[in-house]
This record gives sequence, structure tokens and C-alpha cells, in this order.
Amino acid sequence: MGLHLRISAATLHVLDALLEHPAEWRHGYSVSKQTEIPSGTLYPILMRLEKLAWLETRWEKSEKAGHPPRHLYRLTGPGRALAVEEMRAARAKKIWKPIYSGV
Amino acid sequence: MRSNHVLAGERLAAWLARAVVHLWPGESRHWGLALEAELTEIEGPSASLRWAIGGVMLLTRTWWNHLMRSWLRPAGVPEGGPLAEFAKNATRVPRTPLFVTALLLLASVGLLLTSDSRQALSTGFHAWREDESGQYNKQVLKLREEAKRTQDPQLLAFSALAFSGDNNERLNFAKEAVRRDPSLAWIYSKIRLNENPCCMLHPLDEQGIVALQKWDPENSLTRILAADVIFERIEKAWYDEGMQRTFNVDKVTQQDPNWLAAMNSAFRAPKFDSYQAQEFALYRDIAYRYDIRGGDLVLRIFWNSGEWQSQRQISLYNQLLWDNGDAALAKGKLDDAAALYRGPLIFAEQVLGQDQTANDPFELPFVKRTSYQKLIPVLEKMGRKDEESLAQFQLQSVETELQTASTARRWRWLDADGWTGLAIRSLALAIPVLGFLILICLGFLFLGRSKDLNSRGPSFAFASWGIDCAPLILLTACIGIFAVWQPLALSYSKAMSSPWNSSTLNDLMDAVLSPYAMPASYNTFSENYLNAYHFWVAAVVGLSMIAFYIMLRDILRRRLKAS
Repeated sequence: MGLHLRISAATLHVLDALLEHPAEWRHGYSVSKQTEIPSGTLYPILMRLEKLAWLETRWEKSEKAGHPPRHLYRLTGPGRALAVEEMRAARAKKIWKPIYSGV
Repeated sequence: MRSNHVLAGERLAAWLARAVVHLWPGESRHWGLALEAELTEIEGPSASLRWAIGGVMLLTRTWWNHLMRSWLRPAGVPEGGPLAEFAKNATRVPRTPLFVTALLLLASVGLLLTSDSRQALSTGFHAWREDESGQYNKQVLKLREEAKRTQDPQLLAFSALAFSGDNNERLNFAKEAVRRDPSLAWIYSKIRLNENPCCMLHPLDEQGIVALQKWDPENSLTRILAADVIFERIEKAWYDEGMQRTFNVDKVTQQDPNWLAAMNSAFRAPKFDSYQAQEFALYRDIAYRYDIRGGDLVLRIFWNSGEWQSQRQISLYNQLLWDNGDAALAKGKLDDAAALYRGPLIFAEQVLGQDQTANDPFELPFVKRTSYQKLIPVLEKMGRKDEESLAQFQLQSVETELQTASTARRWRWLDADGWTGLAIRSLALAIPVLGFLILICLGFLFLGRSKDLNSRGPSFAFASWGIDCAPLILLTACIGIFAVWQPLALSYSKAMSSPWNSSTLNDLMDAVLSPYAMPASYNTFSENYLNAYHFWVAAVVGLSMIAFYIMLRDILRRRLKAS
């Protein structure tokens, strides 16, 4: 039994935000601020996307002394394609409309 | 400058985030660190707190998922670690998923919680301790206190019968019970006082027997008990005098002719009632009201009852009649001899016909046989051919009855092969041992879950084997003890739910004493081999074998290293 993504409105918002500048690495807080999704909802989505290999992650050393390294996220190549597909499907069904990426 | 409440809010958020990271399951802790790291970039106490609280919610969700996934792994195998890969083919890592272990344990606990299993276990423990009355004493003491508190006549009567410690207290219970409910007067026939245990003196209460005779004057038993009171009084005086001369029934009849009068009257009474049915009904009533399921209580009551002592009076009087008959025969008084020989016969017929509760199934047929054997030659001499033929036929019937009784009416639990008792004892021992073993194995595996396969010693193989096998064996043992107990429970329930009859006591004996019986082969073994000498021989042989095994293993290891 493979993993699958439950496409909720929150997930579509996160994918939309990540697709706005797909090559850029994003911090969790910046995604949360942009989409207004709280951390308790955002991180399960990110964890799930990573498990499905839609999302790649890396750690970034903080420039400020004493601050811990931060986690960065961006969609993988196949992840982008699948995300666009999911968002188009949601748009066609008129259940959701992109805000940031214009898909 | 930032205000104090801003600082406090941010500190609280930081503390919460740190706690979240600390509590996060090891295999995905980096997500907790990611969440915590963002906190340094968030401005404002309320935003920081919202972020940290989101982390707490995320932690809860992650732990829930972690727990759900952990049910699929064997006990003591962390998620994603190298042990998980070995779980299917290494002897030092258990293989059974935790949910299977948990289900087996839950099923075992569920079975053990049923009252039948608890009863079987408790009986098994008492059987090991050879303590057939352990539960009984506790229950009786509880009911005695309840009787004192409620003054319920049934409970007072029950306490008077069952509690055998303090004579005065028993009599007070009995008097109060009869005062409140006069139909309970029969209990005086069952109360034997513990006056002088060294000399087997257990006299009846004289006043109680007088009251009983007033309540049931037509009953032969009340008259026999009156004779019993006289007999006990004379016997006690004989004990007190130091048992100087021979004690026999002549001494009693010479000292107090009332004994003979009472026995004459008893043998002519229109009815015989041993009150055993009433006693059983009382026990059943108490058992239902106070949810007592142990058969120890009922057996104790029967053993405490005065049947055996009353039979002694009957036997003595029978012997007296036969002796007088012999004397009359010697004098040629054939009619007198026949009448005297018929006395015990008629009484035995009356008891067997009117009362189905005689404790000893042999006593009365033996009486009948002796009487017929004595009567037949007298009838022959008198030339009463028809009566003689009838007596011959009846003697034959009695012989057949005695033969049947010797094979079928003996206590069945004594004849049982004892395997039920052995099974209950063994399972009652195995269940706690297995439960303890499972706890030890679980603790060992969880405490050593961080150890990799190479650093796991043979103890891990034992713990893994234990956790893979022991829960299944435990469940089998629980099913076993439940199943073995069922026939006994049914037997007990049958005896308790049907009206009193001659097989009731046998059913109760089966239900209550079978767990205490052991196979004959075990008894022979225990008599011959379970002693200090054989214990030490077994210990020396066992320890020598272990030492030999260790030595051999070391030699083989050294040779392997050398090669």
C-alpha cells in the first residue's frame, strides 16, 4: 500500500505558495505567513510532501550567532509537475482557485 | 526596550518549542528542530506562542502516528533503526508485531477476569497449599460480621452452623436466629460444640435439643438427639474420670435408663428427617444472596453436621437389639428374637424410604443385611416358609444393592484419575509464571532497544523467544484452565440449582474436591521420590550437567578460535 497525498485546501495553498517561485528555497515560517496556515497544520503537510518526494529539504546555517540552522523547502521536479496537475484539477472542479502562482 | 511581558511570552514559546523537540520521537526529531529553529525569526510574543502551540499540537499528532506504527513492529524494536530490518530473521530480535502480542495478552486477561477462571485459579493455588478451607474461613468471618450487623435470621443460622470457633457465639447466633424465625429450630440438630477436641467430644446443646423436640416431636431424629445428649453426658464423665473402665452401651443404659427410652421411642417415631434438605436450602439461599461460589462452605457444613454422631447412637441401639435378639433366641423365645431382629430392619427401611440424605450409603444396607441374616434362621425355625423366602429374596436385593453401591455410589472424586486436579494445579502455576516471564521479557527488550544486533547477548535471544511464544502459551493456558473448570462449574451449578437429593452431595464433592485430587501415579511418585535425599541427588546431578555444558562450550570455543 503506497503513500498518497490527501489534497485539502490547505495543501493546495501550500503547493500554490511553493510554486510561486519554484526554484527558491523557502522557510517554514515564510510559507506559514504567506498562506496564513498555522504551524500545527503546515508541518504535517510538509512532512507528507517530503515522504512522497514532492518536496526536497535542506538545512541552512544561520548567519546570526547562536541561532540554530533552519530548514528549507522547495518542490522537486516531479513534485512541481504533480502539484500543477493537482491544482489544475482542483481549479477545473471549481473547488479551489490559485492565489499566488497563477496556475 | 522590549517590555517584560513580551520577553516572558517569547521565553515561554522558546521553552515550549524546546520541550516539543525533547519529546519528539527520535526517528523524526529533525522536524521538531525545524519548527523550533523558525521561532528565532518570529517577532512578537503572540505569534511566537501561536507557533509553539502549533508545535505542541504537531507533537501530539506525531506521537499518535508513532504509537500506531509501533503496534506493527515487534516489542523493543525502534522505528526505522537497523533492528527493524533484522526483526524477521534474527533470533535476538522478536518477530511478533506488538499488536499481536497485545491482542494475545488482552484475550488472556479477558479470560482471567471471568469468574470461572478466577475461581479455578484461586482453587489451584489453594490446592498447591493443600488448603481446602482457605477461602472458606475468610468468607465465613465476613458473613459472621454481616450477621451481627443485620441480625438476619438466615444469616445468623448460617453463621451458627459454619463458624466453629466460639461455642457461646455460635449458640447465641442460633438462639437469635430461632427467636426471629422459629422454623429454623432444626439448626440445633446440626450444632456440635467444640468442648474437648483432644477427646473428640462434640456435645449438642441440651436446651437447643429440648426446643427442637418441641418444634418437631414426631421426628425420629429429635429423639435420637435427645438420647445423644444423655450418651454424651455419660461419656464426658467417663473422660473426666480418666477413662478407667471400659465404656460401652451397657454402662449408658445402667447409668441413665432414659437413653434406652429415647431410642425405643425414636425407633417407633412416625417419621425420619435429617434436616439436610433444610440445611442445603439455607446454604443455597446464602450462596445466592452473597454470591458465594466456593463449595468449601457447603462441604464444611456437611462435615460439621451431626449426622455421623447420630449414626453412632443408631448403631449402638441396633447392636443392642441384635444382642437382645440373640439372647432371646438362646432362650428359645423365637417370637421375641424375630421382633428384636426386625427392629433395626424396619428403622433402616423407614430412613431409606423417608430421607434421601443419608451421608453414608453403606451403613443402612449393612444394617438390613445383618438383620436379614439373623432373621432368616429364626423364621426357618418358626416354620414360616413364606416369610423366610421373602426375607431370602430381600437379602439378595440388599447384597446386590451393596455391590452396586461399592462401585457406583462411592465418592466419584476419589475414583477420578486426578488429571483434572493436576491440570488445574499446573495451569494455576503456569499462568502467573508466564505472566511474570512476559513482563520480564518486555522490560528487558524495551530497556535494551537501543542495542544493535552485534552487542545483543544470548539473553536477548531468550527474551525474544519469550515475547514471541509466551503470550500464545499464556492464552492457551487461560483457555485450558477455563475449559477444564467448566465441567466442575456445571456440576456445582447442577447441584446448587436442583432440589436436594441423594446425588447432590456427590455432585458437590465432584465439583469441589476434584481440583484437590492428583493422579495415582503422581501420588506413588511423591511418596517414593519427593524427599530430601532425592532432592539433593537431583540438585547435584542438575548442577553437574550445567557445569559440564559450560566446560564443553568453552573447550569448543577455544578450538574454534585456534583454528
